[in-house]
Amino acid sequence: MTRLPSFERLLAALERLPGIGPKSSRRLAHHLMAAAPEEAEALLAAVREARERTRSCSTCHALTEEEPCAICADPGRDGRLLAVVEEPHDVEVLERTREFRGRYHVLGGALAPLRGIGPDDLHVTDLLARVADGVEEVILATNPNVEGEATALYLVRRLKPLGVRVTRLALGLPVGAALEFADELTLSRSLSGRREV
Amino acid sequence: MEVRSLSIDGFRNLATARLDFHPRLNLIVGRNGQGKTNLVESLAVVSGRSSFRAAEPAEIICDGASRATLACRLSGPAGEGLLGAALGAGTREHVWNGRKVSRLSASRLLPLVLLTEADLRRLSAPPAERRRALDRVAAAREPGHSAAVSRMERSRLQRNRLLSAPHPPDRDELLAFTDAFAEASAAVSASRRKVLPLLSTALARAAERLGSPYPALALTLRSDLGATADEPRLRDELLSLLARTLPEERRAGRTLHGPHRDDVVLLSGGRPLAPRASSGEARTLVLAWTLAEREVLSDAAGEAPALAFDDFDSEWDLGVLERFARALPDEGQLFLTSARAETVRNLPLPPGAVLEVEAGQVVSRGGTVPAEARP
Ligand SMILES: [Zn+2]
Repeated sequence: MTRLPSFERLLAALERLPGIGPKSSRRLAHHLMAAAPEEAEALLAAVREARERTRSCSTCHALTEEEPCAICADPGRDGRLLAVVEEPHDVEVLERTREFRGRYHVLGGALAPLRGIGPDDLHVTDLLARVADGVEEVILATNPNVEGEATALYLVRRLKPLGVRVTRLALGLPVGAALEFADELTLSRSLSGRREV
Repeated sequence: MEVRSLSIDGFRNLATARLDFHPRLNLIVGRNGQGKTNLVESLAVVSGRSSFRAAEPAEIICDGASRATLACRLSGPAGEGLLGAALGAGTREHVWNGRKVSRLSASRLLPLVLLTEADLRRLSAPPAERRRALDRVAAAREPGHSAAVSRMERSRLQRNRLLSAPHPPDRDELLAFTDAFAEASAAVSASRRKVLPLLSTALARAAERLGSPYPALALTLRSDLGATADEPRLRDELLSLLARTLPEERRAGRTLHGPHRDDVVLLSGGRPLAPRASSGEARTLVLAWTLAEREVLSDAAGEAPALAFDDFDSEWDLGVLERFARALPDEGQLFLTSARAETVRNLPLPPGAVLEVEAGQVVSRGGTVPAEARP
């Protein structure tokens, strides 16, 4: 076997990306090696630029290039309705349904004691502050797995004393471990069928 | 459901091959260490069960191979299909007709009731062994059971971490994981309570057919929770139990009550049998348990699951074996392995094929002697 240390470093870096196994990382790496120099440069530039320009919205913690983000800034969105999700990409997942007209709050994860993630590691304090400021309904759209469910149960305990209506997405558990695996129709249905908790 | 054939590539000591099976009985004979158990294990792995001996998938792959693949051609009410399992370093994947499926789906596509050497100690083994046996039946009959068991385990581990933290846990966070644990626990408890009576009745019947001397056999659940199968009541009961014992749990650093501690106890005349039964009697009762599991699963699936029994004759005297042969269900496929071909051939077994295994290969193939042709 010829030694290709730099190529192997690329393979290892690609394999660390979510959803990329050894086979796909090899395919991607070979593609990048065979690609025109401009194509590889364009990819590097796109990664660099996206990292430089995007940040987390100081209000909802979604990914944005403006401050506040387009959804927080949009006067057409219903500020009385707040959907709480775990990760920034969950915002995109719910937006794809075109059903939800409220705003979002990204927690930045879910409670997971085994991984050392507690309430202080999530954007909970500013969620409570936002809710106290004119929100009438909080829709808990955390993932339908143990950590997501426990996070929802935790938030119910923190939100109920504020007198706000709290609902949970009516996602059946077999949907999978995460919101992102639900299709748009399922999500639309679970939004309209959300139940009070 | 019938296993038409098994294709093997890179699994333990088995040679790469495709084996065709008899629709009724497959008697796999050969000296010890030749690969009989590995054959039964391949069927178990395809049907989504854990491997018998090694926890590490690396050990089930034969030396020099980077992965093992096993595939069964199945035919049943749902039609024909190929159910495969691919084992790599630390990975396992099930495929049904080219599409990835879960372990649970694999177990539904190839329902298999197994009896191996390790199972024979079930009555005196730690409770986890008996819980697993009950959960297999519950998973086949109650759609959400397997998922509820994994939610229960996961929420318990998360909760244990909070209880064992050096600083007092956040009250709301602990209550949230307690709620999640109680919700899943109630679902698990309810389905265990629903299937236990079915298993218990079938076990008593099977034990009688096998000539067990014990009267009034019954399985009972030893549990921290009451006898109800009503989920909300089970949940509330567990929640108040956990609330009462929180200081104790904090000292212990773990969850002290719940269905993870359930035990399934075999009673005769209302008293536990395990301490009284001889080891031979205990093994016969496990045999009855296995036949009962098969009966309950076959009611659930509407078809007979296959029964695989490794080294089926090694621990029993001829009397038990003959009764076992007569107690075998009238339909469904059987896989029996034995190191004593001659003894086994004379049992009143259904018609089928005899496959002789040597050094990981089937070296000869013959037929069993049909019962009616025997003197
Ligand atoms: Zn925003």
